[in-house]
Amino acid sequence: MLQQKKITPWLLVSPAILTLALVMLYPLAQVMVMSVHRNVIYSQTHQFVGLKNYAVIGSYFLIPSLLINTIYWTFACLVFQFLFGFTAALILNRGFWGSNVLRTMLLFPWVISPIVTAIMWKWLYDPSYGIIDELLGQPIAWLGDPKLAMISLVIINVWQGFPFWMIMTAAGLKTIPAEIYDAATIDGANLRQQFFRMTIPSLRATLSVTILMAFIFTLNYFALMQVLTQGGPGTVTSTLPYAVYSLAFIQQNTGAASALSVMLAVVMVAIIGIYIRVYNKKDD
Amino acid sequence: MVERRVYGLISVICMIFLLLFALFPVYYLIVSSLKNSVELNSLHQTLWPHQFTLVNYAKGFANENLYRALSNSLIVSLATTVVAVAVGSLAAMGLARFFFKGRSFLLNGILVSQLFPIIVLLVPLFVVWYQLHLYNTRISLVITYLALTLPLSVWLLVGYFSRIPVDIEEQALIDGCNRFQSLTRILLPLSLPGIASTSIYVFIQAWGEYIIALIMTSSDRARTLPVFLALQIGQHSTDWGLVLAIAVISLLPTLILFYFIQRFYASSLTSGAVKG
Repeated sequence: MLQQKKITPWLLVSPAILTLALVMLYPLAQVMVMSVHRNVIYSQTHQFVGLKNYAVIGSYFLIPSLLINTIYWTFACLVFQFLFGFTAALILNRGFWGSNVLRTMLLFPWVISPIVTAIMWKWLYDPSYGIIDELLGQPIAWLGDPKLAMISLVIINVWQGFPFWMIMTAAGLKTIPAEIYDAATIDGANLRQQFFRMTIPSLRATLSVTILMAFIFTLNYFALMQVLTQGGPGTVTSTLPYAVYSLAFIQQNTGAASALSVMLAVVMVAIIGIYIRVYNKKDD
Repeated sequence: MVERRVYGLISVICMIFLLLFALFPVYYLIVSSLKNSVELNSLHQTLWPHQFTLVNYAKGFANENLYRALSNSLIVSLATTVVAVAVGSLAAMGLARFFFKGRSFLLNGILVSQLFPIIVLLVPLFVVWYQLHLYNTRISLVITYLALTLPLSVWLLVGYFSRIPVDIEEQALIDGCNRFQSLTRILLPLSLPGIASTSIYVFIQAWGEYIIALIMTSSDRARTLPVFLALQIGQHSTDWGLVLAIAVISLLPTLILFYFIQRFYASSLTSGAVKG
């Protein structure tokens, strides 16, 4: 390696560190301060209220349904993103003629911005002019029906998110040497045995990282609710992140919104911590 | 052999379904934006327009606020790209070319900050920029997007720089370059493809970002295209022709740019995760 001066790397890294500190760490401290004050921004007063905001959130009658909606949203999205993305990866992994073109096309939904995605699907779902209802031959209020609204949003998120699972699992599949399949075939293992005894176990490391990243992205994703349903009809599509947004910017209660986002962050960190511990234990 | 054929058939069916699922919404958005208002307001929509028209785009470009939003989006995205690549390259040089105490801590910290739940920042960022009198400005958007795109930018660039052998730089040092010159005159030019790809990643992110732009802008002064687009959806009636045309205007740069980097992006993104 080249001759070293101790200060040089730190000088090179410092602009990046400072930016991250300003935009991530400082607001993180600020949100905790705000969560023990009344409405910092709109009332212009810095009245300390202790844990009152937390008590307000704790006694908020909607919390149980928000929790259920959040779990439903995150779990349903992850399961179907995985199923669709992994299926695509398995097929493309065989590397037939044109598979690269197919892969590129399947990646498109992933880079399309949330707002274009929301508008695209609003147009598809439209109860009067939507093509989906036209093709099905009956009018369905996808986003307006309390029974269908959440699943309609899940479909959009799966559309947007499955390519991420596809590239992650495809990269994992590439690390499995082809020879072990040849050996297994000679030994008489059928395709299903090869899949469950060899493919799936080899993907453990890949899946652990992918689940973690997708969990955080999906849980935090509320642009669809903001644009398409405003958490409704009623509160059936209100997830916790959407509730933070709505408390802060619609009901203009920054104190309660800060308290809720701190609680959400603590819960997320706890879940991630437990997840990493469980996963590491299984590896031993 | 029969088993393999059955699986092959299932694969083909699954792939056709996935392709339709992934591409049909994009196809239908673009095709619908080319329909005239009579067809768009018809209760029987068709998969292919009876008559193609650019009237929706003409209507969009006749709207002065669209230009305002477009230029805001372009300025914010380009500024974010330039700064993120500059700051990111410096950091990546430090991390790829020096071994120092705290290096692996920094590398891991940058990777983990990718996972930072943005929801926690939503309220305080608004307040912080408000108190700094930078609320509703493009500069606050640029700084915020910079922080959001830096982690992956640094990660992509470190990966790219590490693949370039250090011998050439060592030779340059022997020939009388100083340390800084060896980075800017040797490493950076050699890394141009990686830097271009990282730029495109940052641009796509800044161009499409919606939620932060929504809460941090309140007028045409700083409003970006995604927020402008969202505002076109009426509570009661929506001019679908206009909305779909603007959506396509917002979508096309993303798809074109993404096409150039998808291979690099996919392989770099997964290299950390799969090996790690």
